[in-house]
Amino acid sequence: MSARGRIPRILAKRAILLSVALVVIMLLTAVILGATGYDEKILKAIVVTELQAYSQALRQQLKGSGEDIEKLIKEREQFLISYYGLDKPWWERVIPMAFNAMILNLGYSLSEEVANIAGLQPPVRVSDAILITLPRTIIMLTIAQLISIAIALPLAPFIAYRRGSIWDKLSISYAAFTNALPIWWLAIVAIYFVGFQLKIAPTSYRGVISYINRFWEDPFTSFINILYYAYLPIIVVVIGILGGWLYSVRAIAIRVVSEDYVFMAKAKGLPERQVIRHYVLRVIAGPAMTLIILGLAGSIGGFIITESVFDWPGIGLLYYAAITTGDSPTIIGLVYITTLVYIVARFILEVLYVILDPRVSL
Amino acid sequence: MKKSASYIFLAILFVSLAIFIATPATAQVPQKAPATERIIWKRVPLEAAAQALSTREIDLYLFALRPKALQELAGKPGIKVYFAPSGLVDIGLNPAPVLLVNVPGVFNDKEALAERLGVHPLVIAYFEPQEDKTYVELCAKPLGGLPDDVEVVREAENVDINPFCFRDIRFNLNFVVDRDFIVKNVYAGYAIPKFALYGPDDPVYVELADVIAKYKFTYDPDRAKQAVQSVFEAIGAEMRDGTWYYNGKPVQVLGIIRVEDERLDIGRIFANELRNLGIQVQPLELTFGEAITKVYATDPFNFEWFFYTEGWGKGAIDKWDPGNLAFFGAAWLGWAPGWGVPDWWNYKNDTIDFYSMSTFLGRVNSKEQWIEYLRTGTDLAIQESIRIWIVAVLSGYATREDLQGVTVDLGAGLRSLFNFRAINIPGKDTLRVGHLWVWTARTVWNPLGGFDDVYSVDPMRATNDPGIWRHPFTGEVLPFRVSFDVETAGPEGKLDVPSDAIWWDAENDRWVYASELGRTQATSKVVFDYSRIVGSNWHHGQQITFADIIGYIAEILDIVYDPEKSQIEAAIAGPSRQIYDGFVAFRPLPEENKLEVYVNFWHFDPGYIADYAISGFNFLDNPFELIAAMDTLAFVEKLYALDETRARAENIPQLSLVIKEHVEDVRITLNDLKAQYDRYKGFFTLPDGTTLMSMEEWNRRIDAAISWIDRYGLAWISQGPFMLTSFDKDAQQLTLEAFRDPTYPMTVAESFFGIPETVSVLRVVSPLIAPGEPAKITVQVSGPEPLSVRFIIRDPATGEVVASDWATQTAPGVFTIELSAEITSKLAEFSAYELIVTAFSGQIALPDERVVILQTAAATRKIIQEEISGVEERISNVEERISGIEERISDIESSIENLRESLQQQFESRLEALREALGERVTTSIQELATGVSRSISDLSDTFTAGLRDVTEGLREVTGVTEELSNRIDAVSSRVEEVRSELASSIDKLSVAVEGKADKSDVQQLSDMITEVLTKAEEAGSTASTAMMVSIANLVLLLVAIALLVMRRGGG
Repeated sequence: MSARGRIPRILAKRAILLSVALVVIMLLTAVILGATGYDEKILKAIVVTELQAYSQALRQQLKGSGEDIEKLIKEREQFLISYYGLDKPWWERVIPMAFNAMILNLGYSLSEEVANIAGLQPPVRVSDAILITLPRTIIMLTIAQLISIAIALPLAPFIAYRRGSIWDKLSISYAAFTNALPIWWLAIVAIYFVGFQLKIAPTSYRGVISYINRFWEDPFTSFINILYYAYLPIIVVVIGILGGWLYSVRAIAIRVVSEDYVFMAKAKGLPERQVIRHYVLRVIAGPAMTLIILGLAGSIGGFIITESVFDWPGIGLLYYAAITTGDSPTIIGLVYITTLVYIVARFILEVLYVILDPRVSL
Repeated sequence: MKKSASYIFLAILFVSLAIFIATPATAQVPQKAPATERIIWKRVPLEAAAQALSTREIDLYLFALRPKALQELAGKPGIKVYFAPSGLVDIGLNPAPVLLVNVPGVFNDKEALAERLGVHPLVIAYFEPQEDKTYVELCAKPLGGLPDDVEVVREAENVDINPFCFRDIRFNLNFVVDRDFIVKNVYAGYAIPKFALYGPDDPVYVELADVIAKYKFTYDPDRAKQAVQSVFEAIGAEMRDGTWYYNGKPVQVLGIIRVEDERLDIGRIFANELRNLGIQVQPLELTFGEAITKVYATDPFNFEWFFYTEGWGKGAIDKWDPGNLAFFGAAWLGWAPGWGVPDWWNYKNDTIDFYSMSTFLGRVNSKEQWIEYLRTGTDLAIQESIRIWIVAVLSGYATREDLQGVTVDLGAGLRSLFNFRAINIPGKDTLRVGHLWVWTARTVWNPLGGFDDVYSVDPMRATNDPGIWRHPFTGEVLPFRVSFDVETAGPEGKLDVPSDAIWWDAENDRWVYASELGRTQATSKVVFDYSRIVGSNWHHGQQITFADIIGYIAEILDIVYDPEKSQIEAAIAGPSRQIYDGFVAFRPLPEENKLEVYVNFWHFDPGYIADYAISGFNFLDNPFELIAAMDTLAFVEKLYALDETRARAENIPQLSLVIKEHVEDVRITLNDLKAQYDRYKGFFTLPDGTTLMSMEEWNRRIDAAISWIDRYGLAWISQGPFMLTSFDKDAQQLTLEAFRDPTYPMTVAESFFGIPETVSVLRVVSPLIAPGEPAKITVQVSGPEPLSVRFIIRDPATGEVVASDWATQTAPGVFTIELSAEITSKLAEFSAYELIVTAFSGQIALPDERVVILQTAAATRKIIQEEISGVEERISNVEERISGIEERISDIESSIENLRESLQQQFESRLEALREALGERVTTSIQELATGVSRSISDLSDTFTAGLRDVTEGLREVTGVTEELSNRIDAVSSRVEEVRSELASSIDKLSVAVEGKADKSDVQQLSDMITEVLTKAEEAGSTASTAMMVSIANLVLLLVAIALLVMRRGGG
């Protein structure tokens, strides 16, 4: 069989392996949630606190005439137990959830926190919650990632090429500095100075949701407004992650610029730009692509604290809300979607490796 | 022509007069509410609130700020902060036993039961005799094991002893909390120490102050240590290296400490104090989700927690609030460990349950009984101490400094309904209000089953006037847009219900005469006057009629009593039925704009009867056509749920009149309703056939509602001072526009109460108290009348309340505490007591409390008195002795005279005999001798007499000196009294000087100094007494010396 003919088989094998990994991950997630009693404990606590609030409201509302209060509370308790699925063992509750997720039936979230993030009334379809929050994260984080990549990818090889120069030192220092600097802190500082003091950016970012949700009603106005809301968060995230990108791509490039064939190209007197483009960039394309695709895939997981600081309810906050409220359907849904994106990204990489570098697995 | 001219002249005159009259009258017309034209309401996260206020992004932040944020804002130019009590913090204890057993035989005696089990009686937390056995709960596993025939019902794993199961230990843990320190250092002063489940932040505290005062727990860890020691030693625990060991293992507890707020510090402090008591602590610092999982979702018997730093929000202020006892002290509501979950171990105390139920459910016959039950229940709950109360948190509400018309509600803070009507910034027509959220998943604008969160309730209250409300400072029921009169025959009697009163026939959707249903008697009648509602307009311009009132009530009763609707919306119907079962009938009087409501409900406060009788329709939220549309969507088309329980159960949305998709459905439904007049006609048709809304009006109103929806995209139409004109849940922003309709009657002045004038105890002038003698203490207070002052004298060492009563008002702001001799005789001499003076105002629920040291001075006076008595007694003894000596001298004189006479006689007789025997010569010689002897005897006698005269003189001198001494003692005594008075006066002056300037430690220091001065004065008095004694002794010695001298002279 020719090398070209083996490619589909290899890719199919990789696809099967990745799919098995996906199933295993989903089952593990379900088992972790269920067998440890994590969700059950939280849900029971929610039932108890909801019952307490209900009981208190009932007593206050009924003033002096409540004879059947106990009955009402009991009924409410039964309802909540059934509503949260606490009348079933964990495997009946969680395992089917995992399998249903794999056929994209993500079910309903019962959590008010999750509903808050999605901006919907509970119960909320998990798929709706994810589809509503995903664009918000993409607008802030994925775009910031893309911008950082767009800056780092051409710049880092030049820096690597001038290893030891002032630019190289500056880029390393910048990377070290921003690596140590929490993005959320930068966000606070930015809101304070640019928003409150200079008044050239919003101080509250919640309004962006309105324009994202109604984008197609008036695309132009919505776009302008989204831009107005998003520019500061994007700049902040770019400042925060650019150093990492520069450093990573530089590290890959440094290995290449010290190769003999690059010296040879230099010795030939080829222009620097040409050397970098033909002898460095082409070679680092494979590993850089891995970084880029995994970075983009990772960005849809959201930044919990940064989203929180900007009051930008994306996937990160959805994750947080789901975990803290023991909302298994949303946790499983999110794990499934993010894992799926990762696995798809991995598969794309496998394809790209094969295309970009025929030596791989052939 | 002439006539026309005169008409014109008259007309001009009339108009001029009208203008003349109207001009000053216009100036006096009160300003209609609201005081501002527009409110833009937006979400501002808590952490951004201070910045948003500083930069004028918002003018007012409605969510209460934490102490840290308040500190940031303190002193910032342009910012003003208002305070109101908003939360409570306590440490909840797990009092679960570690072993549950059944002992054969019925035991009614704890001692005998303990002996049978081989444990100390203290170990038995609870026992309950049953048919042939006794159920027992043990706080510690018996060290020697259980008798063989004892059945173990349940045994805790890995826990041999629970220190918090012992009531004595729980109670004494109150002494390890330094509340003053926590207020000062943890809350930066933004809190009030809380010693029990009720405190000065509760209006009902006025009735409980002396009960709470008994337990004014000071920071006294030694006392707690002794209590722990006493219990642990009794049950066989032993102390090793500062830690208690039971059954060979250290006594250990697991503490759940919340990390989000000040409770982190409180929990850590408490844990350290427990360690100091010898109890090992394993702290778990957790967030909300993790903490409640352990505390509220586990059986206390599993011991996943032993203590937990609880926090509670405070609701609306309520003048007669039995809630704290019922929720925090009793078990029947499910707020005690075990949380009422059937299969778990549950804390129980039947006595507290009885008192809390009686007060909470109104099962009392009089106000006095209600108060007595609340007092007793509170007392018992404090003794039980399943919660250690720490503080009532004062939350701060921040505004721009130029915001005017602010009313600080002592329950709701700045979220008070009154604020939305009166707040304004001069020269600015738009206010920007920040809140934590504008919309959350729980935010539902729907009057029949929504409004469950503050984010919907707060703006709703700006758009809707309630009939009656609570006074922001006192919690009393207050007529707002509806006035009321109450007539009651309760608690035992009944009133007749008039024959034309009506009741809703839910099965047939019509009003019928109540008498047809046997509803002929009721406990109370409340007449509501709707004159300020009926005749004014809804926001969409349609007039509010009696049909809106009657229709609204019919809809509520229909949901509750209609067999199908009550099943569909069971979560609304169930609880509401409990209320409306207490309703007997309604009697609409449309001509008078009045509605009589007959209810089987009694409360000693008539306002509470009115509050009950308007339940469910106090807010006349929306025009009836909108109510009908909601009814159709929920029960006919079944597209929406009214209540969230149904929404969850059926996976359908909960109807909200501000969500775009829902509003569109409301619009469609309204359009359909134009053809459905007959479906809802019965809701506003009286039994005599009077229909309160015609079809034409019905259709007109529906058209108006649809126009409103088309204009604003919202279906919230109401009758309050603001109209809701925009709502963007995604952008978290809404807009309220002033409803400037001429029919709207409410004025700004009616909604402005301002900041509650503080009640203050300005000065307490207390003299040194002499036990056994009456005393007067003057108290000067300030605050709005009527003022009253309660005092409590408490022994700080024992906590015993020695006296408690009300002071008498003697002048405006001046009260006198009269302490009778009977009361002061209960005070120990020369001791210090706490005098707790609490000033109350009838206009403000928050009292002011001042604790001053009450010194008793009886010891000084008594000691001096005793000394004087002693000296007087000794003088008396000396006088008696002198008198004895005088008598004896007199006796001696008389004896000497007798002797002289006898010797004279004997001489003479012997001389005669000798003269006869010896002759004349010898006789003459003897005669001469006799004469000499006689002279000598006479001389001796004279000498003796003279000596005695000298002694008598000397005695007289001694008496004089004694008298002088006595006078001097009187003078010293008088001087001591003067010094005492001067000291008392100085103390008073110092008290006045330190009022408000000194803290407790300063006063204590001053008190110590005064005590020292008095001690020195006493010492001086004692030295003077000694000196006097020595002087008297010297005088007596002098006397004896004189006597001896005389005797010697006599002898010579």
